[in-house]
Amino acid sequence: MTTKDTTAPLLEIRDLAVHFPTPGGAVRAVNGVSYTLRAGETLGIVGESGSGKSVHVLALLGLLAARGGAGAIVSGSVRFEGQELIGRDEPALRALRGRRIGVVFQDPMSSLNPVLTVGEQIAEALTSHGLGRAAATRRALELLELVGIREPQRRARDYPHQFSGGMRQRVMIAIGIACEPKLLIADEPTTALDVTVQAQVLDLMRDLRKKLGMAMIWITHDMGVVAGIAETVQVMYGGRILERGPVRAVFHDTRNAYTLGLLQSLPGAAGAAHRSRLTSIPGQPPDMTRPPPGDPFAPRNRFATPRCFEEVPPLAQVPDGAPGHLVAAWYDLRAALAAEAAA
Amino acid sequence: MALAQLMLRRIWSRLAQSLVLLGIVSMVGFSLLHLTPGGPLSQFTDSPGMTQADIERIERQLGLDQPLPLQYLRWAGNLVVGDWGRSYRDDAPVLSVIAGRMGQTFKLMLAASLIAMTLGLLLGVFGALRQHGRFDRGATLATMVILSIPTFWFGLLVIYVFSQRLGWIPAGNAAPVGDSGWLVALHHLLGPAFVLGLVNTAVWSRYMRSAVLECLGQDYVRTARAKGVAPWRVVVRHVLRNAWLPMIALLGLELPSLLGGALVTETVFTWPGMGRLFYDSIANRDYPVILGMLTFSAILVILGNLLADLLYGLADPRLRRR
Ligand SMILES: Nc1ncnc2c1ncn2[C@@H]1O[C@H](COP(=O)(O)OP(=O)(O)O)[C@@H](O)[C@H]1O
Ligand SMILES: [Mg+2]
Repeated sequence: MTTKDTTAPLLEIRDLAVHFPTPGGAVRAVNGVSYTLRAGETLGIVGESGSGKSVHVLALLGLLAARGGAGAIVSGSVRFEGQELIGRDEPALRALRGRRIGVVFQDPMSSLNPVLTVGEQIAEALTSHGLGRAAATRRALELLELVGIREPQRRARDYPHQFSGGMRQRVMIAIGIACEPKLLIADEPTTALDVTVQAQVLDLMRDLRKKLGMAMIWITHDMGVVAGIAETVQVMYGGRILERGPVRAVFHDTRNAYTLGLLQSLPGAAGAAHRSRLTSIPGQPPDMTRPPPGDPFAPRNRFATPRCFEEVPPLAQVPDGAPGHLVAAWYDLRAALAAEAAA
Repeated sequence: MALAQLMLRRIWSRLAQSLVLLGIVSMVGFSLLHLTPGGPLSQFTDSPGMTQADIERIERQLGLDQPLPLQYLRWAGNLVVGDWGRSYRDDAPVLSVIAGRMGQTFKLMLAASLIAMTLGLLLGVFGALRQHGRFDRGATLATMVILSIPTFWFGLLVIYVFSQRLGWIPAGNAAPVGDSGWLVALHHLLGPAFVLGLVNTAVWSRYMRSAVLECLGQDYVRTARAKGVAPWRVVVRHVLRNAWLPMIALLGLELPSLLGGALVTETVFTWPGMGRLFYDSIANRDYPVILGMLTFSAILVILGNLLADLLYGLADPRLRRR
């Protein structure tokens, strides 16, 4: 790629939709997601479990097809470094996976192969993209050191069950960054870890991001984690983006009731600014075989207007908000909150 | 090396457990045979011309007049030092009677296992990789059919088709008397090994298929694909490496049914192994040989399980550390 447009985004997703045909009807996991990611940018994606966060990642990597069953129906467009990924053949996607796009999955115990040594599993990420065996083995040791595992020589010969949860996640990160990808997607990498270890892993990731200059998509259901690592935050619910913008704008000038709910359920100081007492969002996430016709969050939203139940709100720039602050809502959250405070 | 030490400890503890088990099995077998109608003396009591005095003399000679626990202890004690008693029929030592036959049975079991493991692995893996595909459905149907046919009937069918009608294989026996060429031996082995092998292929492919399916859905397979690992490598290195761990345990679990199947197959194909010996001994009520064979089978099955267990411990890194 010689004539590369410097303003072209690293990743550009347009109207991505994923449906799973099941005997009980199609599961509409992702319903028209569009966003872009610049090189080097860190995007935090937040939403309760079942929002379609993982599925949209698996779809863009082409990892949904071969998981058995009838397979998923994926539509829309995903451009990475200017090339379309949706509908791409497997060899082309495989050349990309692990090399240009690295992934770190949630549960490091089940995500590592129990019968292969940690060294073998890291080296495999390199040999799969053409590095020789000996060089890959050497590089695996460097990577173990890089992610903060002591005595890499000895530890490389250990199996996953011989590591603690936090150390296992460091191994997963070493696999994710092995080929120094342009984009690292981390799907709830700290969810299975306790708070102290979570903070260590976050530190490590901030450090690595700087060293390698890679863009990152950090998926979590914890607003607090996003504040600590991302520049841009994107809130997903019911397979749609409900709000998106610079972290500061979304946190302090919140425009979507669902975002507000997530912020209010944050424990500690971060959440205190948004509430008088700790609250979790009432109600259940929708059944994605029969999603509500309008705003997916409307049934749980006390600010919902009649229109919210009928028509899907478009994701659009907040008129008087920060540049790049987008919201999908028919109601005016700021006005509604002000009215509530006055009453 | 620490690993060797650990393995040794494991072997000892499993061996101790096995001995206890063997003791129980032999006790039960011994008591059952003694309590069957007629008992061990039925061969003599049923013979015409035997007087009550004759029978009592034989009973005393064989020690059958003593209390059962005492008889068991004496028998078990002799067993340990290698004296398994003598056949009622020709007075040959039981151990050498069995030893003379077990080679043929092992040969049959080994050949059948090789067929079963190879075919079962291939059928199971390819069926699972294209779940519900044409191949998978065909293989599933075929294994169901084979599993639902009794082994002896299946054996007779094979003899009828491939021996009687087509003349491709001999109808029975290991080899003609005096002919010891390995090709002839292999030719004779073909029929029984094929029958016993196919029956076990059905079992193996069912287990293999579900093990592969389970491993395919695991998170580490997704990780491997996300790393950009080639599809065949994902299957061989990630799926199969995990899927055949339970197969090792299956090896031990299926040993009794493999042995049982071998005994039936031998009878159908007049194969001169332990199955025939067992059949003949029951027909002749050759009590010491029957008891000896029961004990021998128990030892075999226990040893097989022990071996499978140790192999499993070696193959699965999660078990090695304990
Ligand atoms: N293979 C599948 N078949 C059917 N439904 C699926 C499949 N994978 C995910 N889903 C459904 O898609 C929705 C989104 O899931 P997911 O993306 O995993 O949520 P999360 O935001 O927690 O990562 C959920 O309702 C889930 O049940
Ligand atoms: Mg998820």
